[in-house]
Amino acid sequence: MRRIWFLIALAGVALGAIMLMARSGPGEWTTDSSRALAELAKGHDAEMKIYRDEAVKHYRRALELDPDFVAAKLALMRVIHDRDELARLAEELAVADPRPLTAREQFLVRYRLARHEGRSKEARQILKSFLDVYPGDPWGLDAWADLYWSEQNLEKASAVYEKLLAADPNWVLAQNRLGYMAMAQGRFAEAEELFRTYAYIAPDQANPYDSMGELLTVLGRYDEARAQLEEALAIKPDFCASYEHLIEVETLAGRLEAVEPVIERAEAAGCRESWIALARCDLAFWRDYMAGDYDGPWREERSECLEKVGRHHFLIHRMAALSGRFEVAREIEDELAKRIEKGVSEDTAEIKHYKGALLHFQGVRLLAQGETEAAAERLQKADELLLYWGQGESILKLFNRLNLACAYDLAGRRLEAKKLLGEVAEVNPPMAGFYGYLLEAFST
Amino acid sequence: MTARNLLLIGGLLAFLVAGLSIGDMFRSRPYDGVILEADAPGRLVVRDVVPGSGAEGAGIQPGDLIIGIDRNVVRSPAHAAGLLNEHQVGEEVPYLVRGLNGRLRELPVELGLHRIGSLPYLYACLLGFLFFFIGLFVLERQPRQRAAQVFFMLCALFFVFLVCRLRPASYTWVDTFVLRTGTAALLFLPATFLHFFLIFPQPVRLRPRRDGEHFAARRRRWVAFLAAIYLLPPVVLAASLARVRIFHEEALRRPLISAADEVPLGLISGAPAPNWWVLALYVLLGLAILAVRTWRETNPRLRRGGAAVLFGSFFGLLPFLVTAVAFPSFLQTEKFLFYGVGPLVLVPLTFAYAIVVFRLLDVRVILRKSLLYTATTAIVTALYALGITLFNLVTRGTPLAASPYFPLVFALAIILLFDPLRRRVQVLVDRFIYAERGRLEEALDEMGDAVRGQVDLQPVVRDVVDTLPQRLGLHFVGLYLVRENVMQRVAGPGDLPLRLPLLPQLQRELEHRRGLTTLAEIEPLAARERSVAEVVDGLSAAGVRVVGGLASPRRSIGLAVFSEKIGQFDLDPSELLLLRRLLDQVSLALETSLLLEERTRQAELERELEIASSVQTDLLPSAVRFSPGWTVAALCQPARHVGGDFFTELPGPEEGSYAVVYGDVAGKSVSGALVMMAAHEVLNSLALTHRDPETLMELANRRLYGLGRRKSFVAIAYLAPTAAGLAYLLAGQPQPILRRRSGEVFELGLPENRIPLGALNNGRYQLRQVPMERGDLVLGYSDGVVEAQSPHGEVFGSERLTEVVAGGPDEPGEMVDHVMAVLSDFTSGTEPYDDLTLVAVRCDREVM
Repeated sequence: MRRIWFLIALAGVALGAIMLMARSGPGEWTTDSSRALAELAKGHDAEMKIYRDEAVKHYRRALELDPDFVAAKLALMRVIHDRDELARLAEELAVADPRPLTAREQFLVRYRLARHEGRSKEARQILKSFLDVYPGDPWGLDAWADLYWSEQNLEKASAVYEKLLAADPNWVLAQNRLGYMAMAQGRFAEAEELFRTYAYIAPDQANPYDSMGELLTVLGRYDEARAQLEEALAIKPDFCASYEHLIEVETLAGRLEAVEPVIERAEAAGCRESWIALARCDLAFWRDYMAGDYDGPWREERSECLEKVGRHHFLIHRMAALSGRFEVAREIEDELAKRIEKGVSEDTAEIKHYKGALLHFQGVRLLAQGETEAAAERLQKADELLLYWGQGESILKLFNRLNLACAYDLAGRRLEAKKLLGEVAEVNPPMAGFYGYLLEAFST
Repeated sequence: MTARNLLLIGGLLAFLVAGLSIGDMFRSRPYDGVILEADAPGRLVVRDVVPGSGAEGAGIQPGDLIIGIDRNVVRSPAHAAGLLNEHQVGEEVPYLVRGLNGRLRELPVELGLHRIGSLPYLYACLLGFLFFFIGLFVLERQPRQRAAQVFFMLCALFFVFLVCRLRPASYTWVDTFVLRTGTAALLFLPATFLHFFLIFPQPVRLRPRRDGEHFAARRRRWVAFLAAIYLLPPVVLAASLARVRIFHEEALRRPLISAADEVPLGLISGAPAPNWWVLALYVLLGLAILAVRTWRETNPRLRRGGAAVLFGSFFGLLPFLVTAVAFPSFLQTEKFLFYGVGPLVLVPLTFAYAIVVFRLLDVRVILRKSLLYTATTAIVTALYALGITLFNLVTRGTPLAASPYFPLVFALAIILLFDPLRRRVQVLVDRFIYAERGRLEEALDEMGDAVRGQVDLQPVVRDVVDTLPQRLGLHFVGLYLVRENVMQRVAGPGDLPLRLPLLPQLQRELEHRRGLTTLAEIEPLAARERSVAEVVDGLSAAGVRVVGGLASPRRSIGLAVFSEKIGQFDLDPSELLLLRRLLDQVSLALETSLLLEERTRQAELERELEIASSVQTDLLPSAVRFSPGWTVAALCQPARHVGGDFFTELPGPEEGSYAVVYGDVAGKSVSGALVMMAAHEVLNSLALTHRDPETLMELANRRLYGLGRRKSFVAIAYLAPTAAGLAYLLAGQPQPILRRRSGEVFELGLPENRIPLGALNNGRYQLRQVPMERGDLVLGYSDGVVEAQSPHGEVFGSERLTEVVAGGPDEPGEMVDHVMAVLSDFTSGTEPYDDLTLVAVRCDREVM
């Protein structure tokens, strides 16, 4: 009798082991071409480095080597923006035979198609089902975190990225995004540690240095930021985002004379011409602004630039308000409002950014009009909506806070102004130095 | 599977884990020189860096947190080990380290060849092995003893704890496994420690005895108590983990990126602090129990042993508790932990010493040799060093100081000195090692001498039962002596059986084992023989462990029974040897005293019998009257000092005549004599008022029938003269023989009723008549006459008697003597089988 129980137990253990082994992993990628697989791996590597163009090249090459390579098609869909190509790839995936595919590939196909076709709820359900079975699969976790990321649900995205890092500590994009999320929530020291760790893991990538440069710019540590961005450019001279960030560093540092050489380097590195032109226009407007020439954008020689930059640029709006062109300022606000209504989905965090920007614009105009309390109200609401999200929004948030301090100050709420100014100085001490300049501009 | 085998399997596993740990410690590998904090979960916190290593060169400092190695974020020591093993010695590997100031640094660390096993760890390993082997030795020698089993468990847990828990953490996968095993040992070590001191050297009162009352209920309570002791540490661990899960979830979730590295679990050397506190509590409780029991111990030897264990345990464990529990708990430092490990060596050493003192094992030889050569070598080394130093001092500044010959000469001198020195040291060592045993031998020799000189039984019994347990440290000694074919308990506790059967097979087994054996050794015999099994079960239930036969060369005298020792261990072989020697002397003393006692009793009995014989002889009439014209002679010869036969003279049925009555009581010697005297007195007193023979016999029958519960009856013959001849009445006696003057010889006819007196309540008797003429002779006799046997076993018989009577003389007195002479010839003078009574009656008158 005892022997029978022993055998039953043994069989149970064996069965359990077999089941565990059977569901131990969702499998990798399906292709007969080892070269295609190598290209896919290189593409993933480039994607992790945020070298989008390189990634596209590798994925395309993988597809040339194996036209039915589902994983390559899925990867390509992640990094391209051409709607026609996206549609074609989606069609191919929809008719692909799912039987030889691994569980992970099947999941990714269904998930990607659902996302592509706007079936958000179904996509979420597909994702959940996959993660129920393979809770530690990094691709599943990445998709899940990406979903929250795109919704700017920072808490949930952070939690999932933590899980992803527990499953694969060297999934560098998770490090990167966790760093940005820490930064967005004002946990700058943590963000710095994450970016440094990111740079340690991927010292051959430009992106971690670029991210660190962004963070340091927000923190007002411009020299360090410049060094980090230069490091990024040393690794990858055509990493155009770093030129953009470097320009902002020089602008914020008040070194406008150093901006043109940066633009020239970007031009030499092959960055897009349209962006180069915009950068030059920006520089011109900044020169006008810093010189106190708020009429600058409307001079004849700036008309081409005004056309290129677009009237929604916050500097244009600001100078419009400060030069008394309130109607122009209001038109810019109306355009932005229409844009929010038309193109931005309600449930994304993007709307927060635009709404924040709109409130900022309104606040600045009202401040210029002398309606300090109303301005303070708008600017305060803008502060609540804006995050330290990347370099651009972070700088806007800090700028907004300075304007809010001005509103408080002009409304006689000196203590609040001082407190707020202290908070700005705590994040970015050099930027707090702008306060006097701003206050003077609004006072006059 | 026996408890011993289970424990040995556990010990083997512990041994394998320890071997794995040690092997890993001393294995060559590309090594950075970092010594990690013992398993800080999920993190690589630097406890120390090896001087001269790559880590020191790179500037890694104690307290730093290693976040990355070789461009990888590391999550565990095993992961780190995998990364390092991909490199070669001499390569530079980038490390990402967060310092105590919270800033990240990237440092290049050059990998070197290194073994992370350190001298302190080596010491901890040696200590662990010392524990393990002492425990194993005790278990092998006393595999059935619960205390030995728990002791082995304790030693094995100490072994695992020392080797696994105290190891410096390395990067290998072995780390997690070994350290977890060490933590598991920490969970059970305190409870085992306390458990041991609850049953050693004697079980506390709480522990049930198999022979005690309410054994099952007490056993249940005891098991529940032990279960609570053993379960508390795991419960504390679970509670600590649950507390962290509930209150510090966030901190656990983000161990890497949290700037504040507070460990919410409160770890000491990788195990939760509350578990260390439980360890301290149990150790202190165990020591307190031992202290109280040592204080209360009345046996001086056990008291000395208990004090030794207490001393070693106290001074061995207290520094450890201070440095491993108190310092980390209250001062937040583990720097001094190994200083506390050092004195732990006292624990196994004093246990080993106590084992010698309690004589649990014969480890004396090992200890003796070790001590001898260690001490000798130490002295020789000291002498050598002293000599060299003195030489250098004396010859400093002279050319002789540089001479290479002196150390050589001095070394040779030391070699020559070694053996004489060893012999000197040996005396000291032997005095230390064998002191207790010497004392015991001396005490038992003294006891043997004292016993041998005794001739009285009681002092011998007292010596064996009262003194011997004290000398040997036993709970009790019991004594049985052979009395009336059974073993009767004469001394010992009331739990021992009162009587034991005298079993030849058990006696043979004891002889085979030279008089002394454990009950366990005779279990095979008990399995075969049910009667032996009953004896063994009875003794075993009373707590007996060893039995010793007491015998002289000619007979078995008795049995001595011995309990287990107070330390719950069996007597060791040397003690059994001493005991066997003592039992021989006790046997001789007992034999002497028993013989003396028997001889004295016999002499008293003989004297009593002589008195009884003279009283009985006085009862018999010197001459028997009958009636004018008749000649009577009677003789009664008892088979022993006193007999059951008698004859007497009673008033006859006719006025002026007398009757002769002779009787034979069933039973001989004293009992027969007593009934005979009763019958004699009954007949004589009744005859005073009842002359009629038949009435007389009926009344006498009733009186004798009512005598006592033991039915004893009396065969009677009644002979009386009548006018016509001879009247006779027979009540169980053989028919008298009549010899006519004509020479005709025949037996008288049997009466119809002839039941012996006292046989039935309502006996009826019949008087018969036989005509007698002048010269006719009647011989009455008791059955002892015809039942007399020759040396060859031939019975004398009634026919031979008839022949003797036929050829015998005419005179009654001569006839009686003639018959007695023939009988004497027939039996060749041997002691008669039964009492003999003869009555001869001759008619001398003419018939009227």
